[in-house]
Parts: sequence; structure tokens; C-alpha cells
Amino acid sequence: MLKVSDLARAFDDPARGRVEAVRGLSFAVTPGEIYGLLGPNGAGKTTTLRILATLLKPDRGSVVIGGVDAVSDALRARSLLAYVPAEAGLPERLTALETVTLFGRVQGLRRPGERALALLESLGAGRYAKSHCGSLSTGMKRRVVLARALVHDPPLLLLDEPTDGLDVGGRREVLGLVRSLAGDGRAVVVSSHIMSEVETLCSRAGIMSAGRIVAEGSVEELCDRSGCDNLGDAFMQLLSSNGAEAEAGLG
Amino acid sequence: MASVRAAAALSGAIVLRLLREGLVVRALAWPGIVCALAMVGTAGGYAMWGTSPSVVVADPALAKQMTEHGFTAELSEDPQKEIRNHRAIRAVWRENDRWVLGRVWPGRATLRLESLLREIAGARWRIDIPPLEARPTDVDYQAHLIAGVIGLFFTLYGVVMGAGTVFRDRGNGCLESELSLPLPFWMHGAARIAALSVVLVPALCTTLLVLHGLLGIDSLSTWMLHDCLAALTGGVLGLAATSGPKSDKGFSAPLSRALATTIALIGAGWALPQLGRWLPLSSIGAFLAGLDPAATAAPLALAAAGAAALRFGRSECI
Amino acid sequence: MRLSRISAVALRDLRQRVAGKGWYRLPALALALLIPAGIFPGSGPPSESTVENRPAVVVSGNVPLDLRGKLRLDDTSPIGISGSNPVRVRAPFIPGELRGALDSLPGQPRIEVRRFRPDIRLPGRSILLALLAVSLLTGPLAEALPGERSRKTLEVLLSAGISRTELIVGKWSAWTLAACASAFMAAAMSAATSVQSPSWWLLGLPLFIGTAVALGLWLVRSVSDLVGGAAAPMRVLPVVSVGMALLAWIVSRSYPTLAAAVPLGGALLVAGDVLTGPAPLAAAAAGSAVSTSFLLAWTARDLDRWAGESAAERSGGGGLLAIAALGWWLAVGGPGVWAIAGNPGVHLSAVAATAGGGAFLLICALVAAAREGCLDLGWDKAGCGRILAASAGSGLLLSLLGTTNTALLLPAWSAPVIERMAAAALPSGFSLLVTVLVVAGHTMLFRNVLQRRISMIGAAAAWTLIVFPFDPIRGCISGLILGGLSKHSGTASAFLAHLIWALAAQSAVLNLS
Repeated sequence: MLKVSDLARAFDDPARGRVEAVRGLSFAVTPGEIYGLLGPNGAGKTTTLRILATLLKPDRGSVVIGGVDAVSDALRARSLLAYVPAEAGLPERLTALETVTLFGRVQGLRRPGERALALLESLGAGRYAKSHCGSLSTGMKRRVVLARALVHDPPLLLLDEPTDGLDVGGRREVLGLVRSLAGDGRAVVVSSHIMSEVETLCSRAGIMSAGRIVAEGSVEELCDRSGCDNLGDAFMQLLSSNGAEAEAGLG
Repeated sequence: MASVRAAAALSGAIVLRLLREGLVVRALAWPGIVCALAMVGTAGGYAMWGTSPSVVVADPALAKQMTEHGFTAELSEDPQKEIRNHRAIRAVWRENDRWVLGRVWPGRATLRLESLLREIAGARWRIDIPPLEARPTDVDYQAHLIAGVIGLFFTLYGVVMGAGTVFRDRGNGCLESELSLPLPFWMHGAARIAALSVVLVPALCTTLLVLHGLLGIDSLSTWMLHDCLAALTGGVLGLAATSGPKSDKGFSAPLSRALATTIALIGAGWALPQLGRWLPLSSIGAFLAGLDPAATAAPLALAAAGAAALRFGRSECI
Repeated sequence: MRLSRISAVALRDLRQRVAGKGWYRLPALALALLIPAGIFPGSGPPSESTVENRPAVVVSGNVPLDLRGKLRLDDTSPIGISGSNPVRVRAPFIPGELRGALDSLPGQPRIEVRRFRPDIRLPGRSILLALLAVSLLTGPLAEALPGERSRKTLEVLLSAGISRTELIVGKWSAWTLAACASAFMAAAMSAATSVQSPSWWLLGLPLFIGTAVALGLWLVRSVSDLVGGAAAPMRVLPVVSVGMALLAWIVSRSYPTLAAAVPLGGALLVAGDVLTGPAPLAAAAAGSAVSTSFLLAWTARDLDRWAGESAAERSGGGGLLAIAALGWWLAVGGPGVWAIAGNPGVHLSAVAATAGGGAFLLICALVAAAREGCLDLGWDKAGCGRILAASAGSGLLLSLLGTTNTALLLPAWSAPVIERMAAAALPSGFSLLVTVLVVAGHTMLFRNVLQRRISMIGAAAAWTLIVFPFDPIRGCISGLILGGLSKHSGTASAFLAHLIWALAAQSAVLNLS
């Protein structure tokens, strides 16, 4: 479903000069799979997801989504994916229903209102369909964001830290939702720095540091490779063995 | 076609968001409220205090005749001295072979006084003042000025709204989500400019129409067109200032830049009307200075809007 | 209050704005704008020299030939001349050229109109410097409190042991100094190019700027987002400055020193070189000091009294009601004020004014409905009987009651306004389109939007106050009937009932009174 090869992107920073945010990243995700992008702050996870969502152009490398080259044909690629940024990105003064309907309309759906209401109800946010997004709880906002992302039934979901700011209950609910979405055959890419989350959610994960994937595999494989019992320890071990801890400014 | 429909839907949603923000509604209502109140206050003040104009005379008989004709006549031994010392604004006195009507301000009351004086003196030519059927010509320039000030107000709000619509959407993540929709990026910029127009143009035209009803604005359609173009260009400048690829992500610096550019362009149009009449924004400055705006202002404003939308599309402004 | 803390806050604010690679941008822009404003000669009102030498007039009767030769005949001219002795001039004004021609007629008691200079000192170019320097502060003022609040750095500052007053005074000092520096640079250029010579106005600049910055901070004291923080000062500062200057100017006609003490306005007149001398300057300094201290103290007190949502974003029924009332009164009754002023021609016709007022109410209501998501009017199909009963009932009642005529209590000169308001309240004599527009505006605003916000009785009271201020009994009864119908059978039913009785009243079917 998603194939990323040799992806690279650099930015000009007034203080630090030219900064390479992503350096030669390669990975692939198949339908039904949940792939975790794991890394400390500043590792390049969000930049990677933004490139995959075609919001940023890579300096080099390729991204192929469902057979479509996302770099040269970004418009077609966008209709195959849904991107959920770390910020809720909900307009405070529109209702949940209006927000989801707008996305359905822009995606060219015939009856976007009906689809939006059905989605909100299926995600447990039907009661709040006519509430302004600004008045919703963080958990409810996440549901609306997911409904908005799923309105055109995309085969690829890109989730940037989907449980950021949620309490334990909300976190469980969202993780359950993501799991069920992957169960429907969607490919899901999740970025996170919460080890326990990735451990329970992802079938495979790539550990990113300073713009590169320093280790990749299933959770068991990553633990085995580092000789640790859990993903958290494995993560620290793999990062330090790559000498990346200082560079990324972890902590 | 599908893209256009999608962009229209996006534009509609932005209009809805703008309308639901209290500050936008207040901003749009404010110029009309202020100017209309000022107008009604002026007319009300005139109605209350201006119907019995004052005049200083030396002759009691003349004073009596003037009082009978609706003037408030005050007696003074030296009316000329009174007006010279700023203690009166109208005075009548004899000087050798002639009557002298001293006045500070022109206007209808002074004309009425002159007409009366000519009748009393039996002058060779007399004045009949027709009942006013149109607004007095002495408010021509004031109406002109107010139409320009209204345009300036809306242009400044346009700058804030244009800058705010990108800044807010970027800040709360809306822009990031919306850009992942299957639309060319430039259409997001165009949708925002269209939304600004939908919000600004009717409010501006309504304000001008209300004022036209109260005061009468010469060249109403020209003012409407060029005020709307200026407001739109202000919005475009605000949008461009906050959506540039190299711009800092703050608000005040880009906003100040856009505001300063806007004020400078309008000021330049006023100071150099021969040049300013050709350009959007400057055209209202030039019009205020007495030169009709040129036809190039409209296409140039649209070109600026197009350029801003394309720039928005090229910049990675998330 | 410790000076070191205040200066630390001030330096921090200034550094944040002029730090990094582009540090020069903001000061450069300020100077690029202010210096030309200070030195450029500019253009004033259109010159009168464009008027043709021979005045255009309409001549009739036996006007003397030598006079006729000095005139240009033009059928469209508002000036008509007739007769020979006396020559009668029918004109709303007498152009100078015409006066010259008429005065050349022989054998007459001469009447000379002599101009005297008004006792008014017009503001110098420096007033522009003061206003522009303050207008450039919109962005920094938005950053000063709303920006800090949105970035959560205000809480950090407040918890760092610095007092609220020190914080506000620090921020005020930073932006007053910055604006004064720009204004003084431009003033120096203005003086150097001899556009305006240095005088008392130089000392007025910091007084006005300081008070304006304090007012700006006060305006954004409870705003929590940057856009709202930029919009509020931009909207209010120029209007308040000019309004207070006008007030000070009126006071200055009799008491110049007292006028200088008017907050903001007095200082602006000193900065504009209208009020000069040590006494007005001292009064302006005192007035500015008192008002600035008061505003800063108020701002400091309210610094942590914000409710999450900015004041600029909150909207209540009161604001909408005020805007609707103002729009309706201005459109419908406002032009009547000109009639009071002796100029009945200066207004929209009653039909256009009523249509405009109705359209304004409709726009207000649609904006409010869009904001609150109550565009669904509701329609009770089973309520046809009720609609007819309500329309007949309200129509009959309105006609039978006649007018309450509180207008009798008002002075006679207000009659033109009252007549226009009464005609628009019961839109009789208008076309169907205008009637539908007015009824739709009233229904959408009073039954659909306001009734949801301020209850049926509140909406009926508002309707009475705005639409029937001179006929309150009719207003109350019809408002309650239509409001009740809207509540039980939907807004569309109320619209229909209102339209039926308006049309019936229009065609005099129900006009039994």
C-alpha cells in the first residue's frame, strides 16, 4: 500500500543553518498493517508524515501510495490517504457535523451529510454532531478528527501522535478504533514516542533518530536485537548504540 | 469542475467560520456605526442648534427685522470688532456707502442672511434660495472624504482578516488537515481570498449605501468599486504576509508589515495621485486627492489576488 | 514597584520584536512610513480653481444685456436669474464669479460680503505622526498580552515574582518608547525639511502616544488570541482618539487649558500644534498621567480575569440587538433628521429606506443564524388554522387598537422621524417585494434568532422597542401573538401570519381604525 524509498528533506534554520530533518528513509506498509514510527522529539517523524501526506515535497526519494507516485501526482495520492495531524485541527466555530461534511464534500461524495452523520455515530460521537468543535472534550475531538479522516474511506491512514493529550480512557478508545480500522484492511502509519502504545498497537515499528530509521521490525524483533525485555529499554539501547542520543537532544 | 465545487465548499466553510467569529462581525459593523452616528449627530446638532443662526448688528431696527426672520440678533456698538475678535461668526454693519456682511463660514444661514439684507436694503440684485431638493453642495467633499475613510477602515480590517485567517488555521492545525485534501494548494489560498471578498464586499457596500442614503455620495459606484478593490487587496496583502515560505510564524511582525505597506500605498496614492490612480489601494488615496481612479486598478487587484493565491500554493506554509 | 523589573520586562518585549536576522524590519517600516508622512507635502481638498470663469446659469425674463454677456447659459445649472430691477437670483449658493458680475450692475446700494478668518488653529503635520506611530502598534499590542496569553508565557511571567503592575508598566514603557522613538525621528526629519518647525507639539507626541498605548493594553487585557488582540485596538483606538480630540476641540473654544486635560484628545491637540504654550502642555501632561495610570492600573487588575474565550469573540443578544436597532433606526428614521434640519431632500425615499432597513435586519438575522446554526425555520403543517387565526387576530387587534401615539409626548420637531418610523413598522403603501423583505427581516431576527436567546417576551419587548417605539401597545400585542405562534408552530408560520396581516393592512382590508 505504501512504499517509501530513500526519502530525504532538509530545511534552512536561521539559527542552525541547513538542517537535514529526514535522511534516506525507506520502509513499506502493507494493507491491514499498523506501522509505528518511533522516535524522540525532533527525530523527523512529523516531517516524514507530512511528506507522506504530500504537504511537503521531498528533496529526494520516492513515495508510492497504492501504485500512485505521491511526489509527481500528489492530487491523486491525496484522495487515497487521510492525514490526522498532532493538533486536532478542528475549526472551533463549526459543528462536528459541518466539519466532517465539508471534508466529504471536498472529497466529492454525493451525500456528504449522511455519510458524516453515519460516521460520527459509528465512532460514538453522534450525540455531539451539532456541537461546536471548540466545545468538545479532547477525546471527542479525536473521534471527530478520525471521522473527518475516514469520510472518503481511504486505504491509507497517517496518524501523527493520535493519543497526544488524552487521558487513559480516551487513549484506550482511540487505540481500539485504530486497531479496528486496520482490521478493515487499511494500512496505518502511526507516529508516537509512547512505547507502551506502540508495543500494543503496531505490528511493525521503525525507530527514528536524527532523520534516519536506525532499527526496524516487529516489537519482538526489536527487543531481541537489543537484548531487552521491553520496547522502552530496547528503544534507549538502540538509540545509544547508534550514537544518536546526544545528536537528537533526547530528554 | 469537481475541484471548483470543492474549492467553493471550502470557501463557504471559511465564510461560515469568519461570520461566527464575533470580532469579524463587530469589525464589519463598526465603520458603518461610527460614520452613521457621526452623520446623524451632525444633522441632529444642526437641527437643534442651527435653525436660528446668530448675527451681530448695531441698529436695533435691523435687529428686530432679522429676529422676525428667524435670526438671533445681538446688538453691539461695533459689530465689526465683534467678528474680528472672534466673538461672533456673522455681523452686519454700515461702512461708508455700503452694507458689509462679515462672516466666518459660508453656508445656507449666511446666504439667508445676505438674502434678507438685500431685501431690507433694496439692493439691485436679490437672492431667492430654493428649497433644498438635493444635499447641499458644501458637503460634497465631506461625503467624498467619508467614503474614502470607510474604504480605509475596511482595508485595514481586510489586512487583519487576511492575516488572521492563515495564522489561526495554521495555529490550530486546520490548515494542515485541509491541505491534505485532494485540491491544488493554490486553491486553498484562492478559497480564502474568495471568502474574504464574500464577507467584506457586502458589508462595505451596505455601509456605503446607508451613508449614501444619509449624506449622498458623489460617484457612489466608483467609490464602491475602488473601496472593495482596496479591501480585497488589503486582505490579499495580509494573507501573503502570513503565508510566505520564509515568513516567521509569528503574527505581529507580518501583520505590521502588511499594515505598513497598505497605509504606505494609500498614502502614496494621496501624495502622488497621478501615479496612484493606476494602482489598487493607491487608487482610493488618489481619488481622495481629487483624481478619478484609472481602470487598471481593478485588473491589477485581481492579478495581485491571483499572485497571492499562487504564492500560497508554492509556499509550504504549514 | 521596582525599576529594574520594569526595565527587564520592557527590554524583553523589545528584544523579542527586534531579535534575529530581520531585526531591522519593523523599525525600518515604521520610519519608512512615518518619515514621508512628516516631510511629504501631500495634496489637500480639490481646488476651486477648476471652476470656469463665466458662471453657468439659467436666464429668464428681461435680464440686463450687459449682465447677460458675462454669463454662460446652461439649462442644467441650479442657478436661475430673472428680472431686471431688481435682478432675482434663485440659487442654493452664489459662486464668486457670479457675485462679481452681479455687483457690476450700476446704481445699487452696495452689499459686500467680507470673509473673516475663523478662530481655529488647524492641526499641523505632526498630528499625522502621532496617529501613525500609534497605528503601527497594532501588532505589538496584540503580542504584548494576547500573544503572551496564547503562548502561556504570561502565566510563567506572573508566577516569576513580578507584580502585575510592574509587568504592565514594563510592557507599556517598551511600546511607548518604541513609538516615541519612531515619531521623534520623523519629527526631526519634518523639522529638518522645514515642513513643520519644532514647537510645543514635540512634547505633545509622547503624551498622546503614552496614553494611546495604555488604552491599547487596556483594550486587549482580556483577549486571549492574537487576531482578536490586533482587531480590537485597530477598531477602537483611532475612533476614540479622534472622538476625544473633537471633544477637546469643542471645549477648547471656551477653555483651552481645560481642553488640553481631556484624556487622549487634549494630548493629541497639543501634538497636532492646535493647543500651544506651557499651560495647555502642563494640563495635557496631567490629564495624560492620570488617564494612563488609571488605565494601566485597571489593566493590571484584570490581567488574570479572563474566561478562556476572548471578549472580542463573545457575542450576546445585546450586541446583535444594538446593531439591529441602529441599522433599522438609521435607515428608516435617520434620514428624517435631515428633514428636521431643514433639508428634507437629503434622504432615501420612504420605500427605499424601509426596504434597506428590512434588508439590514434580514442580513443581521442570517449572520446570527449562521453563527448559531439556527437556519432551520421549522414548519408545522398542521398549523394552518393557527396561522390564519393569529394573522387575523393580530391584524384585527392592531387595526382596532389604533395608534398609542406616544409621539404626542415628544417635541414637534421630531415628527418627520416618527412618521417615517410608523410607516415602516406597518409597511403600508409599499410593493409586495418590500413588504416581504421587511416581514422576512423582522421574522428572522425577532422570532427566529432573538426569541431563542432572550425568550418570547424578551423578543416581543425588543420588537416593540426597535420597531414600534412610538406605538408600544400595538408592538407588544402583535409581538406576543407572533412570538407565540412561532414558538408553537415554527418561525415559518409566524412569517406567514405577519405577512398576511401586513398585506391586509396594506390593502386596507383590516384598516378599521
